[in-house]
Amino acid sequence: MNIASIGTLGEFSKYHVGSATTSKENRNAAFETLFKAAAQMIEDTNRYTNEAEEAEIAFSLGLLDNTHDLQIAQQKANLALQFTVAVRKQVLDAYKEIMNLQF
Amino acid sequence: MINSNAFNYINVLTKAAGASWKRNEVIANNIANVSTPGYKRKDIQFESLLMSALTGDNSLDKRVSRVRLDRIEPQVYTDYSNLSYRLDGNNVDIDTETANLAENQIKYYALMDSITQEFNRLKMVLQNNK
Amino acid sequence: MAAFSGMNISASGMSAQRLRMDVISQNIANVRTTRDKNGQPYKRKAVVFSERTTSPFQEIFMKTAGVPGNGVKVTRIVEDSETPMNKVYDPNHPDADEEGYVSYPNVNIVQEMTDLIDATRSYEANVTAFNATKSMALKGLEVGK
Repeated sequence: MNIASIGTLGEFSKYHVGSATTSKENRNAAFETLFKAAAQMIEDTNRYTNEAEEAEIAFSLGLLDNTHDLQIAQQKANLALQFTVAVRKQVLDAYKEIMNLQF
Repeated sequence: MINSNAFNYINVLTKAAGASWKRNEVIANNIANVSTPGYKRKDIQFESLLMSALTGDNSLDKRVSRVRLDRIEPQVYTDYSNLSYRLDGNNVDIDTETANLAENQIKYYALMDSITQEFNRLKMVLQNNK
Repeated sequence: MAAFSGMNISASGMSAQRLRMDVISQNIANVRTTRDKNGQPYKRKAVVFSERTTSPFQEIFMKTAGVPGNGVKVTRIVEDSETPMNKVYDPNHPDADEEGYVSYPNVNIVQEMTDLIDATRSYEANVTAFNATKSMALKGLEVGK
């Protein structure tokens, strides 16, 4: 079990949903479900952030016809990022608890 | 946990806001062409498309999550009714268009407000989870 | 579609109505002009509106598909040759013709004033549409705040 490699947010991207299932036997099952959902969240958050940035550039180029599209894309990206950060905090807290239990 | 269904209502509201924006453009074009001979007024068809996409017996949540938003686009149609008394073939009535403009503006404001409230509800969930 | 085309459309409407008002003012100012720079009595002028398009392809596109349109423009200013000139019998006038009739311009003041009021009302409606577009855009910026 390689919990020690859980570090910053960027390292989550290494744990795709696929790799989480192959090393199932090494993980605590309850922890694993939280983990899979968190990995899925990274992909969603990336997608929303990219869409927001594309909307920004499109607006600067004059390609967008209205203002609400840009604002809604920004808000979605912000919310997704906030959720992801909150989930990361939960995962880290769970990890600390588990580490404290085992020793 | 955020999933892809968290933004469903917001997506529907965004589509409706896009239709409202387009309707504003069409009404502005009608008003600009009030003196053009032979011009027929245009309007947007969207609400009927959305209603037919949201039919079903399930709960509103299920229906909203199932709707294919990429298939629903606001359509511009030309209104060929010739009920005006004008001799130059133009059927734009400036009072009707001004009234439609005000109604559409209020609708857009209400949609923007609803989207803001939806986002605020999601943010509130975040704050209560700290 | 350019960004904020709703504002461009209203602006084109305002320009067109303002041009129409200018032509009407010229008609009213020249109501008794019997000799212009060509020696002819002044003929009433009128504007011709048409939908503004950016290319011939867009004209056909607008008829078949549903496109909101691009506003209005004045294509030409024509002289009104159908209304007959105002002939008054005045043989002592320097501009009288051989029979003693002076041709005054075919401008009807009452009709010009009615046109002017109509043009003003259309102009104000365009201003209302412009303000509505601007307010909606600003409100859209406040989403989520």
